[in-house]
Amino acid sequence: MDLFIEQLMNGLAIGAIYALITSGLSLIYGILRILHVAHAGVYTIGAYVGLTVYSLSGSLVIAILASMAVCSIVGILIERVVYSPLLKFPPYVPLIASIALLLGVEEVMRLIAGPQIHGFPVSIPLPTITMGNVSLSPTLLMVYIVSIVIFFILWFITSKTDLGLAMRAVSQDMSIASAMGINSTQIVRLTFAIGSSIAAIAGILVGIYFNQVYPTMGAVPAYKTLALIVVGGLGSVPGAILASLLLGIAETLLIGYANIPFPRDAIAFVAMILVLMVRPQGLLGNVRKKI
Amino acid sequence: MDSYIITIGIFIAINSIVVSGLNIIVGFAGQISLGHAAFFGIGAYTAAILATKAGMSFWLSLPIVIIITGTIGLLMGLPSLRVKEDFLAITTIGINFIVEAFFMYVPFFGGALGIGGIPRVELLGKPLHGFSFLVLCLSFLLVVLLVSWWFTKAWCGLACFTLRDDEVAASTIGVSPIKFKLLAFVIGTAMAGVGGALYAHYMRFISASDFGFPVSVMMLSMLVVGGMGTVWGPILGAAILGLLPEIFRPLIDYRMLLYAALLLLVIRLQPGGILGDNGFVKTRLRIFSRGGKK
Amino acid sequence: MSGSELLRLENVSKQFGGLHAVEDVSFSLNRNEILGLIGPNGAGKTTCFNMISGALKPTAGKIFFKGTRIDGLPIYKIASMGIGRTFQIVRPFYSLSVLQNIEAALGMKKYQSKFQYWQKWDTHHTRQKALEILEKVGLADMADYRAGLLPLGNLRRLEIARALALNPEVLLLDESFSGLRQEEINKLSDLILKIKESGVGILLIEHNMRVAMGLSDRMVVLDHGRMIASGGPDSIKNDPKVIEAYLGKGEKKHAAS
Repeated sequence: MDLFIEQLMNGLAIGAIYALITSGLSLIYGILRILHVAHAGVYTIGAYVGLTVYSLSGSLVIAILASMAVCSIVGILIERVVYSPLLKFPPYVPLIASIALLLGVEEVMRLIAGPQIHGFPVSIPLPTITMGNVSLSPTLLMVYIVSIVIFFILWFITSKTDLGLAMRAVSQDMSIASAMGINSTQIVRLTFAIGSSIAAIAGILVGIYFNQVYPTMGAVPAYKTLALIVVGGLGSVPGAILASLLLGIAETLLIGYANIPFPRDAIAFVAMILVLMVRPQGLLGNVRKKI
Repeated sequence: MDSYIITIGIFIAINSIVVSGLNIIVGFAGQISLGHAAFFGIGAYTAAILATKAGMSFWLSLPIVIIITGTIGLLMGLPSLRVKEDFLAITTIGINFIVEAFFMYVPFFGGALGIGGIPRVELLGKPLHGFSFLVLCLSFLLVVLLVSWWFTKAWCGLACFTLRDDEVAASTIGVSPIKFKLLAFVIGTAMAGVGGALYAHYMRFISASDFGFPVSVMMLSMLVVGGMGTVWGPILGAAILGLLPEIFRPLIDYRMLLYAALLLLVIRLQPGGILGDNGFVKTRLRIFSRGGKK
Repeated sequence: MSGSELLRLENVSKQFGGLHAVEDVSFSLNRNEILGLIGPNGAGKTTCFNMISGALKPTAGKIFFKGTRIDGLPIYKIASMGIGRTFQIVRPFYSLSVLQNIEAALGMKKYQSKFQYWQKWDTHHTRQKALEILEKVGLADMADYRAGLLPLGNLRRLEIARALALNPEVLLLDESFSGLRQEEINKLSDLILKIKESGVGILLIEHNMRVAMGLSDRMVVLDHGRMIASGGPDSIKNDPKVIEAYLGKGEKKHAAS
């Protein structure tokens, strides 16, 4: 039972991290209908920048802020230089460009920082909570706290602010939103900035939680998160978050607890194909786009 | 002939065969497939198993390879009937991951260690390697090119072009989207399977990671760079992306980066590929023009 | 059922959730006849077309083509039985040439076959037949141009030519006169009359009242999914229900311009 709870807690933490990455991806898909595979590259950059700034400054807060800033800029640049001109082509064109970008980022990181795994040792000013035989480490707690805060902020922005309203308008119909006086270009860029900042935080969290930062750390999340936005429902951020949490728990429990000999990384895709066959609009999705 | 050149030639030939298959699916029928490497792998593993566990010769196993790969390709083509565009892209990516995982974890396929000791192809009792194997590959490439070319000349090819341009309009002239999309998938994946069988007998050792998603991306890149929907495009793309790492050998450490940069550049500037509609060859050199004057 | 009846709708309805797009519509179309399907926006005309051509399945009712039930059949099957259609927003095969658009449609029988679709399409015979059809619509001199580059007027004629290539017995024309200049309208009207005379039954959706009244032998008027009138153009023109549907209650003005 203790093992079960421990794995459940682990699974929840991993799910929370997936959710952080996927929510940004979902926001971006919602607004541009682009599968931003390179989002995982931004996440990787976030981890490296965070690590570097932390080793230079010793402050995790400064590292996070710096990383968010850098990643926002990177995200906006990607939108301006790569996606914007390609929107008029069929969707696989920006998709291929995105995949090429991810590859590029992996390589650049490898060339700059080397292919080896860097550790990210941080002393976190949080206690270890023990409940019976189950203990929750400070890093685990940090993942929970940070993700809850981020999701709250995200929820607040999207449903309670004018910005959120504008974002939803633009994702529904960009030309009508523009005709109503919303600066759609600004909104798109802001969305990328927000999504990329969250990705940066996710990268840092992963680096700290697993104590690993390496160039290809984005490879698996890149495609898993694609499957997750489908499972959650394209265009639905809460759906993406829910799907991510469920996947985190499923992966950890199936492999870590039940010891089922199934490839862990394939679970997301099996789930995705099942969803496409049984309930194509996803868990919480509304079929705004024609399948 | 320098064995180094032969090796490159063999890789380009095999890739051309596999990418020609992708061309039928993506270039002719307009479907997205980002999981083509899965069929390359299914062909390779089928050939490998038949050779090592059933002692079959390459020639005997070939029809079986084609049938098995084509049949699974048919099944994998079914999602394309329900979902389109980026949904389909994600689905094919998922299929790639699942197939790769299958090969990696099911013990019959050798698990993470893969399958080794695959014998060479024998013709009239003599094992083929080096130059003779290259000739074998080129012969198969010739057959594949003939099939591709005939496809464009046949009604089924025309039907696929209409599906690619406008599926609804195609239906109104009697083209069954199901029939012709699946046809494209079967032929395209069968070609990949043939390439896979050649690959298995050449490398003589295969493992699941040879057929992962990055390989699918590489194949799609070859198609994009060379020109989708043209018969020669796959060869040009396979040649360019095959030779590039060799030309940049001194910069070998930057090879992947350059390849990613090239892909990004091409897709950004010429989404139809070099031989494609707005590509360099048609607009500057004005040859191979398909589908009428501008 | 007489030998000249081609198409028959019996109590056809289409519901989308709570919305009754088409409710209990019945009419028939004969050979050598043009039936005008008119009504204000949202009346359900295109929905009817979509149900006849197979794009939608009726929620109730039956559709017959030459005595055979066709409701619910897939689009390509209905097309192969002899029903051609055009689209309100043109859908050419943009990457093919004008000629190839027609040649593609000429392959309709081959596409239904088990193996004949492996035969060559690019033959002199096919090219000739396609050119003949293009001559009929006056597009023969644009044969080698890329379809995607043509202006609207030509594209509308291309759509009709493509439907004609199926050798259809029924032709569904969806707003084929939209956006055309008067000269083009005249030419197209002549063409459609010629098609009618060759034995085809034509179902016409058209907003331009003058064109609709001028071409139709009979008319069916829809409003909010229901049939409110049917008959010859003269009786429709003066039918108070029709006038009311177009202009709203309380205004008894001419509906025909």
